[in-house]
This record gives sequence, structure tokens and C-alpha cells, in this order.
Amino acid sequence: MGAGTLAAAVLAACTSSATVPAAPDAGPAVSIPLTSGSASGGAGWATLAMGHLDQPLNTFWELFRLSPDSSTWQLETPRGVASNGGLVTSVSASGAVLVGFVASQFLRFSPLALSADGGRTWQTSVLQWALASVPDSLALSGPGGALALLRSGQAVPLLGGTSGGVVRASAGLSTWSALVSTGALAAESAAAPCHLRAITAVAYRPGSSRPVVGARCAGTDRVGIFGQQGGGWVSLGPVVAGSSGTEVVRLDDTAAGLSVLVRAGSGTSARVVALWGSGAPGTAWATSPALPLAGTTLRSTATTPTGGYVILGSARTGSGRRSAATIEPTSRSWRRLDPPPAGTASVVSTPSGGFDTLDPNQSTLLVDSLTARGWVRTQSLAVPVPYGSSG
Amino acid sequence: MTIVSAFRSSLDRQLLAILVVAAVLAVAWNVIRTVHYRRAAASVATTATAGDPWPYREPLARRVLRISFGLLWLLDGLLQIQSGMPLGLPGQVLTPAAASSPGWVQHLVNAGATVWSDHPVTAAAATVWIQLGIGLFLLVAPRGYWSRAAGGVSAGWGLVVWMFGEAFGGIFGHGSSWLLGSPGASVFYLAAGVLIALPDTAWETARLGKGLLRAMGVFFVGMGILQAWPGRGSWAGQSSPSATPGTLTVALRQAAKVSQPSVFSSWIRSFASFQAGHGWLVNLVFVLLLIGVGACFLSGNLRLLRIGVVAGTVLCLADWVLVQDFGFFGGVGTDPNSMIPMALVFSAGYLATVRLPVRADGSVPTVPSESRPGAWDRLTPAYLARSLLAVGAVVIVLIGAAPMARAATNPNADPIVIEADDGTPDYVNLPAAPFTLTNQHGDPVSLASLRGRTVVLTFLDPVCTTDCPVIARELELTDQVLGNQAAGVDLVAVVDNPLYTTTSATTTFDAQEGLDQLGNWTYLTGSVSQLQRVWDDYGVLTEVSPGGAMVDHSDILYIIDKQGHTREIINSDPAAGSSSSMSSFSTLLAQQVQHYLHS
Repeated sequence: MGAGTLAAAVLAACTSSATVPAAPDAGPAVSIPLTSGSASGGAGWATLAMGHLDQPLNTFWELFRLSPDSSTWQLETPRGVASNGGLVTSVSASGAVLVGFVASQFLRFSPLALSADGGRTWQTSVLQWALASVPDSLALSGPGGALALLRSGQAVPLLGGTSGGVVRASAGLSTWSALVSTGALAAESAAAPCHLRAITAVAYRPGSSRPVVGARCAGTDRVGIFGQQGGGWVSLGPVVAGSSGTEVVRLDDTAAGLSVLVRAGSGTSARVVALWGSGAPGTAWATSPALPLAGTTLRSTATTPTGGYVILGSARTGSGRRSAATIEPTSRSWRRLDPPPAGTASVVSTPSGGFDTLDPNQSTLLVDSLTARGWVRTQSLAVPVPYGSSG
Repeated sequence: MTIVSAFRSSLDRQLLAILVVAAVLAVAWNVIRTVHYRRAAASVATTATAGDPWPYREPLARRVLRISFGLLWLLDGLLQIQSGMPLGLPGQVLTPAAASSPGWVQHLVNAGATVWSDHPVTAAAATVWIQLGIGLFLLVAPRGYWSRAAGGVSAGWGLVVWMFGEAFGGIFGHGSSWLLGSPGASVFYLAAGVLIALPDTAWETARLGKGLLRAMGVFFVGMGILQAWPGRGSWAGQSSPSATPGTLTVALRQAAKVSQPSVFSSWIRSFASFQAGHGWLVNLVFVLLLIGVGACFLSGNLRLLRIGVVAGTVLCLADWVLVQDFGFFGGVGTDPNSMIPMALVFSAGYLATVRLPVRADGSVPTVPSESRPGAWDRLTPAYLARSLLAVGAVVIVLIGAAPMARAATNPNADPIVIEADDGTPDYVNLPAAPFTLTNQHGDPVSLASLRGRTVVLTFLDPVCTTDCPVIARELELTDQVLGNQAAGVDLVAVVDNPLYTTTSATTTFDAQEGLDQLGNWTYLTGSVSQLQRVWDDYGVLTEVSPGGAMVDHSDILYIIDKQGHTREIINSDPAAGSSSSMSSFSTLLAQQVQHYLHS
């Protein structure tokens, strides 16, 4: 499906009811794009790959920040570690940002960097294991604690196996302890209806230090969202009718509470759904209409200042043209944005509620802002991509 | 010292050893001949019975095989002297030969390639002498056990080359083709060696020749069928620039690019152009010829056999020139490819069928042992010379084979591999700059506290993604190479990243690399100002750059002796970071450290 098809699908979704068409499927899990953004803590943040994207050692992930009192993005990638593997960020409501480096080459653990002043200074630490390469594999709490989702396939004695899972740290990020392994969560009775395959996101329940995790569920229409309660876990996720498999793509503590972006189904019947709730057991979820994704690859996701999402897709075949849509918790309907310029890698929301496209043109970040006249080039930022520095 | 110059030096040294052996053999020849003449003068009867003990001349087929393959081995040995061999053979010949073969073949070939990569000078020089020695051995030993032994050695080395050097000639891979050299040249060296090693009685009837030709007949028909098999790209040329070229088209274009005299490349280009336009026709001709030659060999009819040999020889020569491009151009050509040895084998089969050995009296040609003269009496000057030359040839083979065998069993690569990239160590004798930092357990450690032990000091970034983990593994390997001697050595690293300086970072790095299992491992850190002072004192450049770059720093290593003096400064850039270069670095470092342990 090209941009036009997605646009048509978006329009259809905008005007249709919230009913999700029943279309049973059970395709393979689709990867969650690491390219992402957030508009939290009063600033805009975005991570994306730059450089020669066809050469892994000359691909460098960069972190950009758009401060509320500025209209231009600044490079804020923490220094001291090669970023070839990817960057993961978590921004707290107070504006602190925690950045994790996805392990690459011979590095098998993830260095971390924490800034409480918008990237001016960084406090470094290390996570002894490799972070999962998904946008919400880190969660930063208000008091300074953190959750980290670990990649499966590595031995984590703390979690008792290699299935991956979640660890947590108190303030200072120096000591990590086990929260739950993927295997242990899958064995919980609460996870039985989910047929849990993987944990895909972590977050804190809004206004508390209670962890919440998102998951990939197989062969079910239940969304895999689990909260810790007492000594065990409870299922929090609603049902997305007609889905045969769901996957939490984003799980974020936002101004709207707990915001969740879910991909349901796969192949030609894949679609995305946004959810909003408190994350407390027994509470209801506000559910968006489904946005069909058939034929479109999800390229990036970003949160909006009000707790909504903006997503970028591109056609899997043909021109690969981009298309974008956004949703807010207030309207709860998908809104089509003008087709982003060619080369766009990410569409992000600005602190003021606008939208920017980010186009990583090798060592130059091209920024277009959405205006009444469509997308208008507003910035061209030279980025010192360190070609050749990683071997 | 580069690997090429080390290769040349090694050849020179071994040549000198061979010349010494030759001189000793020459003296022995003179002494024995003198003794022999004195005995002959004392006994006329003895002289009368001395002479060639064989009742008939060497069968022509055997002689053709022995001399021609002797010359081929000499040529192959000379080709191995090319300067590209020590470094180029694994990557340009061995590994590509196995690229389309199944995993077990690739594993086997990789094992051979690893031995070569770990010991490039030894392996390259050894191959030169082994092949020159075998060639000489075949040429100087025409009859008897020496000659059969030469055939056996030739067959054995042919098998080694066929397995490790040619990946079984690609017979287990996809797209193997007679035209392009399948089933490999060395399999014919192997066959010829086995034939030469057969006892004389095998050559006294036509059975051997007929059997050999029948086998070649089956082989040719099989290769013809394989060549005709659809879906293997054999029938395609390249009808348009956008069309997918056929297998032969691709091979011809690659051959035309090989460095060679222009006249040969022009022949190849012309044939490539014709084949690209008439791929189907060219393949049809080859298929018909292959099956036709094979049918002639299978017929057993002498006239058809003769036609088959002539046609087969012409076909082989045409393929050798126009497709295989003589086989030995390009800097790492190791032999003239398969066509010449193949033609020699079936020609020998024909000669073994039609030219049987005949005794002068026409009786059954056997060797009556009771009529053979005594050992001393058989020492005619010619026999003596041949025997001593055969001994000399065996010595040449051993001069290559012995170091090769030792290298094959040595798991540690030669230091020359890493020295070729990083250079040789700098030797100094200066007091090492003092420091006190914090180890991975949080305890203070000073250089002075390590006095009395040999210290290997380096600088590592705990969150580095490339060089530092490789250097850490090299240090672990060094510890293994040192064995019990490691107890007298401290392996010490200083953090080389001003942003990640916590003991949490160093202990995580240690756990990642298994360094926490080494009792003599210390990873030191401190405040940035403390670290900066140590970096300055040891000439370590550390640069933090934006944009997602890892910290850029010097890869440098110091050996500090028991008295606290810096004795060597080694460039520790892991270069390719291959198993060979890592092992080589560890061997080099262990050797250097051992020197100071004992001093």
C-alpha cells in the first residue's frame, strides 16, 4: 500500500466507527522501529540514524532536542560511546532524560547517560547487559529510578536465564535488581490468555513507581499490558476485537496517563490502535479506531505533548513514499498529515503541538515543519557524523 | 620486517641448508665411487656382473607420467615462490575455492587456511620445498623402491593439496564444471602418483592402461552430462547487457582481467565475446566433445582409443588456453590447472595399453632376485648418483614438511603476522612513570606496589565497541600462552575514557571479556585529573568527539620489568582483529614478556 492507500485508510478510519474489522491472521512478529520521538517534560526529543545507512559501521544514531523556547533542533547525543547500535531514550515529566546505547560490535552491555538539564551535562553509568532495541526499553521515574528491558539471548544470571526481561534500578542507576524475566512473566496465570512471546516496552504507571510492561501476544486479541501488583502480575490490557496477535509498540507515561500504541494483526490486516488509561488494575481504557497498515511499514513513532501519537509509514513496495497520521487522546480519531517529504525518517511532535519531519541526509539533518502551506523547510543542521571511527 | 621479505629470507636460509646437504652428498658420492673403483680393480669378476639389474627399460607410460609430473611439481614449486603467496593464498585461493562447497568442506579448508594465515612464512616456504623436492624426487628416481616412494609422496601431497587447496576441486559445490577445472588439478597429481607407486608387474600387461582409460571414459561422459545439465548456467552466454551472464561468460571475463601478457588476454577476450554471443553453441560443442572422447575411451577399440586421446588432448589444450588461461597468471596461480595433468594421465593410459615393456629375449619380464648382484656391486656410478640425488630430494621435501608439520600443530600464530601490521616493538630502558589509581575492587594500586613482577600496562576504554575488547582477548590469550609463568606477570589496564570512569564500568567490562577470571588482571581507574596525568606520562592521546563517536585513543602497550623500568613499547592496534592477528599478538607479547621474566 502506498501513501495514497494509507491516506485513504486514514481517512476511512477518521470517518468510521471504532469497530475493528475482524480478520484473523497469525503472521510473524514485525520489528518495532527504533526511530522515535517524544514530546515530554516540555521539550521535544528525537532519535534517528544518520550517516551511510547502508554501512552499519558508518551508521550513527543521534539524539536531537527541541527546546520549548526555540524553533531549531540541537544535537544532544551523549559523548563517549559509539552509537552504531542505536539509542533509546526515556524522558521523565520533570524533563530529565535517560539515554541508553544499544550494544553493537564487541560491546555486549549498554552504557547509559542521564541528564537533568536538557543535555548540557550528563551523568554516566552502565547497565551490565544489553538493552532491547525497541523505543521504550528504558523508563525513567520521577525520583530517578529506572526500568530497563533486556534483549533476549544473553545470559542474565539476575533473571535466571536467557529469555530477556526487565531489571530495575534505584536512583543513581548503579545497582540493578531483577523485576521479571520474559519466561517468568509468560508463566504467570495473568499472561496465559496473551500467549506472551516477548516483552516489548516498559513504563511506570503514571504518578507512581509501579512498573508496567507491554508485550507481544500470539494468536489472541488481548493486548499484552501487565502491571505489578503484590508479589505477582495482573493483566491490564484490553481486547482489540478480531486480532490474532497483538504487539505493544509504545508504552509511555504521558500527560494523558498511560499511552499505548498497539499493532494488531499482521500482514495485510495489520493495523495500529492507540489506548489511554491510568494503568491501574480494573480501570477502563479509552480506545482509538484502528488504522489499517496493510502494505505499509511502520517507520517511526513519537508521542505528542498531550499524550497522543504521530506515526510515519512507508510503502513496502514501489516508490516507498511516506505517509503520516496522528491521534490525540481528546479526539481519539486518526488524522492524516500531508505526505511528508521524500527521505523523511521520522515525524515528531514539537512542544507547541506542531509537527516536524526529520530527514537524515547523511551528515545533514533536514527539518520540515507543517504549516498551512504544507511542509516547509525550517532547518538544515550539520551533524558531525564520525565516519570511520567505529572500525 | 614485512612478511614478503621474511619469506624470501626463509627461502634463502633453507636453500643454504639444501646446498650444504648437496655438498655432503657430493662428498659421499665421491668417497663411495672411489671405494667402488678400488674394489673393481681388485676383482674383475665383480665389475663384469655390475650394471642395471632390471630386465627391461622403464615402461614408456610410467616414464611419461614420472617425468611430466616431476616437471609439473617443479613448476608448481617455482610458482609458490611468488611474493603474493604468503599473504594472498588463504584469501585469494583457498577460501574462494571452497565458497560454493558445503559446510564441512568449508570447515576443512578453513582449518588449512587458518594454519597458513597463522604461519604464512613457514607454510609458503614449506610448500615451495615440498613441491620442488617431489619434482626432483620423481625425476631422479626412475626405477625401484626409491621411484615408487616418489610416486607415493607425490600422491600424498597431491591429496593434501586437493583437499585443503582446491576444496576437492569443487566437486561438492554448486556449478562445478570440467571447463573451469573440476574436479581439480591435484586429483590428477594424486592419480599419477598412485600409478607411479604401483609395482612393476602392474605395467607388464595392458590391463592397467585399459582400466585407466575406461575410468577416464566414465569421467569424460559424466563431465559431459554435467555440462549439459539444464539450470546450471552452462548454456547461457549473455545475449544483452541486461541479461544474466552464463557461468562460463562470467569466468571468461574474470580471466581476461587477470594480469598477464596482452596476447593471452586478447585471446581470452575474443573467445569471451564469441561465447557471450553463442553460449548455447559453445556449450553444445563442449558437451559433444566430452561425451565423444569419453565414448572412445570406453570402447576399448585401439583405433577409437587413439582418436580419443588425440581429440581429448586437443580439447584439453583448447580449454587450457581459452578458458583456464594457463592457470598460473595473476600472482597467486599455484599450478597450470587441470587440463595438462588430465591429458597426461589419459595419454599414459593409452601408452600403457599399446606400449608394453619388452625384454630383449622376449621372455616374461620379471626380476629374478637370485640373479641380482650384491648391494655393493650394484653401486655403479650412475646408480649411486641417482640414489644420492633421491636422498637429496627427500631431504628437500623434509626441509619443507618438518616445519609445516610443526606449524600445523602450533595453535599460536607467528609474531610476524602482527608485526607486519603494527611494526616491531620499540626497545627502551627508562624508569616507568609512577601512578596510584583504583582497581576494579575499589582498592588503591600503585605501580611501585607491583615492583618485583613484570607488568604489562595498557590503556582500555571500558565502553569501546572495537579495539579494546579485542586487546582484552589478546591479553587473555597471552596469559594462556604464558601458562605457569603468568604467575609472575601483572596484566594492568588503565581506563581510557574520561566519561566512563566508574568501577562499575571496569567491572562490567571485565565480566564481558572474562577478565574477572584472571588472577593477575587489574583494571585501574580514578578521577579524570588522575587519569589525565597517567595518560600524559605514558603518551596516550585521548579524544572525545561528538556525533556518536567512541573515544579515540592510542592503542599502546608497555612492558615494565621487575625493577620498574619500561623496557618495550608495543603498538597494540589489533589491526584486522582476526584470529590469526590476535593469536600472533599474544605470541609476540608472551615471547617479549618471557624475556624479562628471566632477566
